[in-house]
Amino acid sequence: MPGDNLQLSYSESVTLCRRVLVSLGAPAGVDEELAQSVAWLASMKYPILHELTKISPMAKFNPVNSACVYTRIQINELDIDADSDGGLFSLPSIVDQIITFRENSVKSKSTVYNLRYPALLVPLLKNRLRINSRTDLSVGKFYAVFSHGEVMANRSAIDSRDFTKHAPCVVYSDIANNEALGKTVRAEALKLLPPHPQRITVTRKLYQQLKAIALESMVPSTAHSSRMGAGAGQIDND
Amino acid sequence: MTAPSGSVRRTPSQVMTLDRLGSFHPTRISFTRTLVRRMHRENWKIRIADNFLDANGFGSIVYRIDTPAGALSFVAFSSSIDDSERTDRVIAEKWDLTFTLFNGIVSAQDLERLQSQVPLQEAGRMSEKELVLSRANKSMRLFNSVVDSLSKGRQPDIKRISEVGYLVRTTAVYGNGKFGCSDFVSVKENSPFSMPFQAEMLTVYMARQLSFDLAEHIAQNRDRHNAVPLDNEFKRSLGVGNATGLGMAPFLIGHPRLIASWMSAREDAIASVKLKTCMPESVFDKLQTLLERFSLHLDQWNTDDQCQSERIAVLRKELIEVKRVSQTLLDLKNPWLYLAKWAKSRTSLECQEFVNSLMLELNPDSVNEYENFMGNDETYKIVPAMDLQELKSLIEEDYDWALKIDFSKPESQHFFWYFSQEKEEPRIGVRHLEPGGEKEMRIGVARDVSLLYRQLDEVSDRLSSVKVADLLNAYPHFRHIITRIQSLQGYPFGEIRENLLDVSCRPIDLLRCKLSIFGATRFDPKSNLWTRITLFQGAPLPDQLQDDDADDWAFPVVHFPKSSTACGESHAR
Repeated sequence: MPGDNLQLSYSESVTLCRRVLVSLGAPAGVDEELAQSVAWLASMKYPILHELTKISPMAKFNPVNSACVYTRIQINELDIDADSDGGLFSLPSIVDQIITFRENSVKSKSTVYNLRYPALLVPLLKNRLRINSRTDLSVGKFYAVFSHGEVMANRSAIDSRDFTKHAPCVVYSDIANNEALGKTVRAEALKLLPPHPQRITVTRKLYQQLKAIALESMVPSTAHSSRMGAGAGQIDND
Repeated sequence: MTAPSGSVRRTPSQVMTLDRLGSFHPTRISFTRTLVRRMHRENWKIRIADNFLDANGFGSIVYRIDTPAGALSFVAFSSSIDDSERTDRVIAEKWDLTFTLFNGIVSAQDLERLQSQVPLQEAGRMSEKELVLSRANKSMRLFNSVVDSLSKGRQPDIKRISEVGYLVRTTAVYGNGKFGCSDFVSVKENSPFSMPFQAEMLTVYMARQLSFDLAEHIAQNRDRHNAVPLDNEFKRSLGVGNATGLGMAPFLIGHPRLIASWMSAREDAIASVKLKTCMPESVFDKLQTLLERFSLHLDQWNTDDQCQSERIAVLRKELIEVKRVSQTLLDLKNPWLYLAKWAKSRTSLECQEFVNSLMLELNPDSVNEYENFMGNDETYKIVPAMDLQELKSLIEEDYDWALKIDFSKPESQHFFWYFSQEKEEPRIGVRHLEPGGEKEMRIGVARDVSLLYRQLDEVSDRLSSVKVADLLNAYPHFRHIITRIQSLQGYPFGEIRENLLDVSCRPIDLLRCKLSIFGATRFDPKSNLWTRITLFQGAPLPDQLQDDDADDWAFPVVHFPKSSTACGESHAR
């Protein structure tokens, strides 16, 4: 296909993101949810795929380190302060805490957390999202954004201009129509809901970078594995 | 539609074992059958729209498929490759035939783009107009000899037709967004296909037609005066081959809700037949016809695999008994229930599953509707607010089979499954001998459940007060297995109840299970990891789709040609 850009299908974007996250050491299950989230945000033209290439597979996923991060999460009503470098990869568990918190205590609050894929907390910063920057993550507040159009946050605390500018903040109508949950949802937000996940345009260079990272989640081939591992011969003239 | 009574429906512990799944035969709700019935019902029309093949059969060819929901195109490219380049594995880089199912009518511009991408397969980029990407290799045993016979005015050797069963063999069929193709969610909205694998099955059906047209085209160009077309009886006797390896196994594990739908539909359909209280004479007659046909089908089921050969031999003997028992069914109050119970107590798994397929085949009125339950919008959702006591109870109830396995034994984790960096080929390795175990696929469901259960034991004094969310804070690597366990509540057929890491695991059983649901026949294992099969053998040709017998092709057999030109060696069946 000519040109510098490629169009990825949504499902291959999810698979690619998941493999990248596995390569970076994301725990089983965290990778799946984050991949859904990242692909969804990317399909909404949020520049998040580039960020994946900047993460170094260091101690981000070290369970011990992560546990420290988690214990320091403070849930203050609906805002979350993550004053550490837990970054992207702690976030599904942060969302767990929100859901648990909501289901136990905050059902009557004016917040929507009806989740299918608890996804990603996006810092609504003035500048571009930088995932692995301790500085960036330690400032500002995080708000929940969930994939597949299921949202989201304490609307009263958010400037709607930031939402439209920085994150695909849309809602399902069943949430919006729910009197208890949807009273803070604005009608215009519904218009942003895509009919289904969109294809994602990436540069060839970025695609190759992501593929190279994803490859690390697979096992290098050896003469033995090539000969024996698939259960079939290398030449097959039937 | 209500599910049949639970008392006659088999339980997941009876069905979801490898030896049982590895004995499945296709049924009338397998995907190939469902597709053909739909083509028949909706009067689909298939024709060659453009033929750019040269005299040797190389070039491109475009078929147009008209459906009530819009036109589709099957676009194929035929290339010359060296014998040394021909492999059925994912690591292949060249193929005799490459093709795509295109949503709509191809323009010249589309064709140019497809010509530059489709032959590259995994290395190419598809667009959202392409629903499926696939390829096939010619059967060296059969293709050239068929062309040779036709060019000389003769029909091919029926013995060879029977031995091989196909002219070309697909080696991968990619859909659902692979390599840029249209996502299934989009396919459902924008194409004639709303159920899984229907677009893929149409592609395979078209590959079969392509194989006939290609052979005839080359024969015609070889000797325009003497060449004859392949007899329709021969064509109908031929299917399209498929070579399948380990890739199917992780699919079965990775889509448990979809598998649950497939299995539930199948088991509900079987149970609905068992509940029938009589057998009309017309069905009795058809039963006898099918038993005779299956007998012939067994005679033509060729394999070099010792295990499968032995199973066929046993089945052949058991079939004599099935025929004997079938004679008594007409007067029974619950004939099908009786037959199923008899088979269960007296015959091999292979025969029991044949009997199930037979029962489904003979009761289309109550069975066909189950084809509508073969899809599932898969959603896997963690419930972090669940307390650990509830999670533990869930495991004890649904995964008791996994808790019985002793994973401290080395043989319990003998194998690991992985994707190779070499074209992402799925492979299997021996854990204590080969590197890469730390990058294994998530195939070890039983082991992961067992590990989680042990972890829960360590906090047994606080299970009611601790949430899943809290556990995941400390042990995030359990997220996948907990999500799976929670998401499969109410999907009892979602799990294959075996340890797939065990030294005794036979991946071929998983392959046969999935392939039978697709509609595959003539399983011909090449190892415990690899099999060849045939799809669409016996299926009506495009111009036979409106025939009354368009749905009557279960247990397919090779037919003798009727025409006078069919004078190849006709061996007794």
